[in-house]
Amino acid sequence: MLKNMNAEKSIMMLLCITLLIFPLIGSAYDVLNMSYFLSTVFLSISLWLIWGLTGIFSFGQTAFFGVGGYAYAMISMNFDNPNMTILALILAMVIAWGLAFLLGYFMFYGGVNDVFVGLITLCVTLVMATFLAQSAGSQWKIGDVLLGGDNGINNIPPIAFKLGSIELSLYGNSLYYFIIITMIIIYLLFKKMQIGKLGYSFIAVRENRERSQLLGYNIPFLQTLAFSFGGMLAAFSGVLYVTWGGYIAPSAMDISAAALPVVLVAAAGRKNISAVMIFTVLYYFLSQKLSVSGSEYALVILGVILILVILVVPQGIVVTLFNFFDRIFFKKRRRNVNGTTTDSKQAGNF
Amino acid sequence: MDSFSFLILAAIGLAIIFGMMGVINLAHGEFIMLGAYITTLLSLAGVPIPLAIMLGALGVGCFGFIVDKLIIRHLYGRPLDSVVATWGISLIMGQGMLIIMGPSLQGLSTPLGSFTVGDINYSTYRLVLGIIACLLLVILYWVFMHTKFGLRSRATMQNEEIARSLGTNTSRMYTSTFVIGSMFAGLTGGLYSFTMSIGPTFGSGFLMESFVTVIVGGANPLIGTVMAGGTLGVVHSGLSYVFGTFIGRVGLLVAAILFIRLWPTGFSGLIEKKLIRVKRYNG
Amino acid sequence: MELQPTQNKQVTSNHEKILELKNLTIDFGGLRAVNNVNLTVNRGELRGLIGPNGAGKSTIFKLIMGIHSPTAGQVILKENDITKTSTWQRARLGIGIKMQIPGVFGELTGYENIRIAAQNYVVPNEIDEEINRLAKLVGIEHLLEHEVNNLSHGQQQWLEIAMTLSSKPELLLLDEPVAGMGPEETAFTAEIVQRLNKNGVSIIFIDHDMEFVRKISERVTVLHQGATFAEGSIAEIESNQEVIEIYLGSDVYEGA
Repeated sequence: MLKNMNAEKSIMMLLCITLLIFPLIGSAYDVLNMSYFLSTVFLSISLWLIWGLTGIFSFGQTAFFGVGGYAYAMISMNFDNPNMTILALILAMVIAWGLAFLLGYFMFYGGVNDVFVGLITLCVTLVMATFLAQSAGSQWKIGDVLLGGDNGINNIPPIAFKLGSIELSLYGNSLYYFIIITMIIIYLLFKKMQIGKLGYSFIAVRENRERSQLLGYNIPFLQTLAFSFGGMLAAFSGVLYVTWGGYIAPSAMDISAAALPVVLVAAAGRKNISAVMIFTVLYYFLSQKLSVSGSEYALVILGVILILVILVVPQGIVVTLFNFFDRIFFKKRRRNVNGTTTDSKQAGNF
Repeated sequence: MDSFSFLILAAIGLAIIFGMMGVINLAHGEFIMLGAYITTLLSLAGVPIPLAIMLGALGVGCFGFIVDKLIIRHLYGRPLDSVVATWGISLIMGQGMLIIMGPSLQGLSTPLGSFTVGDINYSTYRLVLGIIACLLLVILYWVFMHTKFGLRSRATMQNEEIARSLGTNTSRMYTSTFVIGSMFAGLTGGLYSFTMSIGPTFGSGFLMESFVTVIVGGANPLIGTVMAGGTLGVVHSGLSYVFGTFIGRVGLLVAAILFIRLWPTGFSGLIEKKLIRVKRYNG
Repeated sequence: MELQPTQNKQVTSNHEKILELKNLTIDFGGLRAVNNVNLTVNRGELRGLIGPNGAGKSTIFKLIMGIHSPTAGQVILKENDITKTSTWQRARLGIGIKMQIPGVFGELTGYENIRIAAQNYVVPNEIDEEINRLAKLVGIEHLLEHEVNNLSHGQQQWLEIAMTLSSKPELLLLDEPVAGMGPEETAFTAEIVQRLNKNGVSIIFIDHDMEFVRKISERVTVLHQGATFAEGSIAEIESNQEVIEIYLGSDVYEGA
């Protein structure tokens, strides 16, 4: 693993260590905030999988985020047993996977591609948000749980586990470590996938659909596969969010919320999973700092950054930085398919 | 009728820019908002309404010119990149307006009063809007089909390289398109500023509808927008009437989704297939 | 009808048909681009497909691969009717195609390009070996680590041929394989094509470079306005008065 060191790997390892010891150096308030930032990273990773790796431009990840949050709330709040929250987590992800699969099948097997996927997914997200926003009446409920209209659902229980006298509820440090551990596992999993057959199949879909088809790739199937797992990951992010905050509302799926992950992933450098993760945390961290200090210029600054990125560094800010550090510290030149440089023939050898 | 004119007016600016340049302007809502602000401010200062609206349109057109020169001209034909960049523009405009002018602006009352047919009250102004929408389409048709400019723009839309080699200054074409698209957005904002409350989020009420209309309409701003506006207008009005506005909006979105799935190139694509043309093929 | 994946069959008989097009027709709007074409290619043949511009040659390739669906007629591969089979499955059945427009992944390296082409057909622990073998076949083994956009036009073409070969196709379709190549590169390509054919690959190719056609093809089919016009050895075709006439109407007849 140490053989092919580069900027990306060194930075990620550094961050990993820092994040693992973070609760020891930060306050409880800091840990709470960091948990929130990290939970949004899964949403960005889901978009990396779909867009960065497979080339599907989707505005729909927030819809699946919402599905995750709402489904989890519905299931966990209909039962008193805290162990049901685990089932709720699993079911929420499975439901999201299923819905994403259906939507993917609908689109990709119908030959819809490129910009039009973005437009359909945007519409789907808006349908969900609009529909839920008008669900205020008491007739809108599943089991005993009201959908709640614009106000959404409150008092959602965190993921918990109770066996005999052992009771563990994901809150504070335990939630933080749960998020960190799952993130590390998913990161390593995806890094491995990326250099394997499935990863390269997705890359083939991204690079040139028609040509890949002529090479024997079943394009709609691969697209639907990526899209369904992307949806599942986005739902996981949603479940983490409601575990953290205990609350979900339709505003999490409005047009700004839908555009944000796209914008973050594009600005970071969408082909590189590490870049996407780092930039997401950075953005939320800075946003919070700016809003806490009362600055109304936060969004203006973000807007300017986005424009500059597209015009000056369309590869993405973080990816460009990786390349820059690679050239200085590691003397590497070639940019591989991840948008980072290595001196090996393969992309992202780990 | 109401829905129809709303959809047409909301979408036409977006459609022109997308159809011609392949640029998706996510700041379209903010452009509309800018038009509304200019018109409102001028109107409050005493400028007569029609003039205020036209100056609103012109103002946004100028703004569009600047934006094109600075940013958009690097993004021709790059729909995904234009999404991110125009999102940035929309953030700056929206937040900027909030900072400069505050969360809301004193609104204006709808002019021209109302009239009754049978026992239903109609707003005269809304009728005027409908007429304007139709007039716009007629003007657009005339410009597209019967002027040199229109001919050149149609040529550029079909095949940029050939148009360029035949002497059309395509970058000037694109700039003027963006300016015209912006003007239409400003016009819509100005027109509707008399019917809604004014604030930095004024445009968001148009964004969804305009996108949906453009999606369903396809790349041709004229045919597409008309047919989409018509169809979706019917869907929206019908559903709103029976089930209420929320369901009306949901219905609109669902219709759009189905439409894209069945005809990804929109109404424009459908019509083009019907007309007999020789499709380019190799060999 | 079982559709088997690619197998390396031995060339058993010269009369085994590898591809048969029966009454193949396609209309685009009001225009009939391919008109009732009947074409048979035997296993092991090296067939040239020539004709003036607009004759429908590339369209036929697209019909064979399933990019277009015919208005009428059938495409039969190794005695199996594949007219309704999807494109990606046809690739897996043993047809490799290199089209006119460049089909390499420009932003990836040569290694990654061949990797993507080959990984559906080679087991993971043999894939590096296979990539090197294919690269050597076309002479680009020293270029594998370069971004493909930085390779010359000829090198990209050879890379694409290597990619096309990674599925060990029994039938290879080449659309203008030497377009844009100078005489040396053309000669090298001719050598590659002939070597492949000797190893049992049936090849159909389209090209306008008559010297190239003359050099490598055994049999040539002439297409005109979407229909088969003539068929025979290159000598027969070149002395065919009617063929000459249809070419005089276009200015693509090179190397006369």
